[in-house]
Amino acid sequence: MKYSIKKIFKSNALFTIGVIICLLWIVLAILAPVIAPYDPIAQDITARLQAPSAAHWFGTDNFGRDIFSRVIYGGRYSILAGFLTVIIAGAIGTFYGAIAGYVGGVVDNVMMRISEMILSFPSLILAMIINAVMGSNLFNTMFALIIVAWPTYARLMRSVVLSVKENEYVTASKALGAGSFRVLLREIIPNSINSVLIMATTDIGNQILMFSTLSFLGLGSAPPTPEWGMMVSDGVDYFNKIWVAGFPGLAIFTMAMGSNFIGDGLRDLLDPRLRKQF
Amino acid sequence: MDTLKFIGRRLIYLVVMLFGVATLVFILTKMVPGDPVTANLSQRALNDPEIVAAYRAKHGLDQPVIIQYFLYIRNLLQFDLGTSIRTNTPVLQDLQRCFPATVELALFAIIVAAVLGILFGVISATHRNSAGDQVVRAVSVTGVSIPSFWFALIVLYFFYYKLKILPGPGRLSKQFAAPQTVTGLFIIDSLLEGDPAKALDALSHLILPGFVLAAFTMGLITRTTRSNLLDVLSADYIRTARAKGLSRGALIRKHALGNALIPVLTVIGLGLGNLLGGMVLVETIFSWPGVGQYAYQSVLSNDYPAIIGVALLIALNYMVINTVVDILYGVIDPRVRYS
Repeated sequence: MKYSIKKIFKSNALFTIGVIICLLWIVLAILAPVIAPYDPIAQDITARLQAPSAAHWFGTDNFGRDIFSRVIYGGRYSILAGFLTVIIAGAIGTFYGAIAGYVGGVVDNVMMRISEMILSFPSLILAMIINAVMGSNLFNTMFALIIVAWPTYARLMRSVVLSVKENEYVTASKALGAGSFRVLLREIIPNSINSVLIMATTDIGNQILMFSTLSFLGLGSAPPTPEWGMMVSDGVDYFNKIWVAGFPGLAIFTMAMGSNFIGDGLRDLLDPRLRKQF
Repeated sequence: MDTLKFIGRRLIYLVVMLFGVATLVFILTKMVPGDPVTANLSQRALNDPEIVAAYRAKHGLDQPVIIQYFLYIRNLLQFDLGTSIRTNTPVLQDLQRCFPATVELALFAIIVAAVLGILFGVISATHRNSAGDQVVRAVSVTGVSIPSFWFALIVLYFFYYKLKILPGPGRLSKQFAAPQTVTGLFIIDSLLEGDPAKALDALSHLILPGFVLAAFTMGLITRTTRSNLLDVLSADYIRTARAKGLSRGALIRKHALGNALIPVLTVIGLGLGNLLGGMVLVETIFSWPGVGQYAYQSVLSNDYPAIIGVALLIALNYMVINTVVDILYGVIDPRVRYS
């Protein structure tokens, strides 16, 4: 694996770019208090809606707040929300799918139909409804995203488990007297997890997109939190001052793109069929 | 006979899933913290116990939950979705008014997405690892990673505000009146009225929101086409065809593309279903009077009957499209029917 990762860095330029972009945003978000030139929520009405300049690299918004400082602080919310959603939804979906695939029969059928019902709603609408029902704050937004996201993992995991469980080492483990739970945890999940990991990498970008979409619609964090989606929605009213919405949106876009590049690179690496030359 | 059996099975499955989704929506609305009575009645009405009781009785809220559930299902079977709290008209009527605008935009977007997506996918797969392939892949990743609400603002800023080459929000320019409703699709209705200038204006209003909406699905279609075509091109029968001396172009057109595009059909179907859901942002920004904007306004004003109506309509669409794609799939590829 170590060797191939090195190789993929060399052979796949987009993968490398993805890693650089994502690392850059993560480092900026972590070091925000050190790097940010201004307080992200400090208002300065005399300096409102200024175009990008040496003093304000990304310009200022309608309250005179420095957009550059807000963008790097904003990464803290969006990136963290993206990662947490993927980790929690991924874990739930992995176990759910693994159990459905391993047990099979009626249990599998019922479990999968339940997940399909959730999948038959467009994710944004479902997340909006959950958010509206529960009230909107950061925690509920993430909860809504998790509810919407886990079935995709469950489906993927189930399909992988269906083939993995036919392997001889699973039979061997059972023959040695291992119980179902042990077989699932020690044999099946570790051998099926690769595809879930690839999907999770790409999904971080998607979840950041979804999270900022909900914030954009006013269903996420409350002002004056510097959150990327909400910052874009602040810019809607100052449409001709394109930098107000432009830079936070660019942040969401590049972060999502970076995570997609990484996911694609990993997929190419782990799927030998795609490596074949035509 | 097999095909009929297959279609029958899919239709039964559709009905079961619809029933499940309706139940899921019911459970969601019962999870609402707080009382729908407090949400829907004014403070003055709330102080009068008689009004509250009458309201509860009218909406069946004084019944046990299980009875409420049966009432809800009975109403659904009679196409009664209740009355919107915000617009004060039956939800079904509201949806009938909004839906054609959404359909027109979605159809335009899916055509753009399918044509460009397949074209890009084929270029990318047949010129694997070339500069063109890298560009196409970058474009398709851009499509799936760009936040549509931001993309919408950017294209409006450049093409409408700065360059002034395309119209902005709305379905028609001010000088035109909406055409007489026949299909509800402005392009077709304008043509039926014999007004090609109006049809052209309606078409030009579709371009910006249509492309913004298409971006995500186009990215997905490009990726699926590319990976499927690559898969097919490494199949044995392609090698055989090559060995017979077929040219590259003929090989791709006649042997590879047909098989590679079968899974793309699913992505297009799913994409169309998702477009109908993804309308919320684009319709809100482009002031497009469709289901997406209606959904957003209903969520903002906690208009539950309307939210339920939208959720059911979109889920219904999604499932019907999926079923149609599944059936088509089974008809095109007999292997699916037997698995």
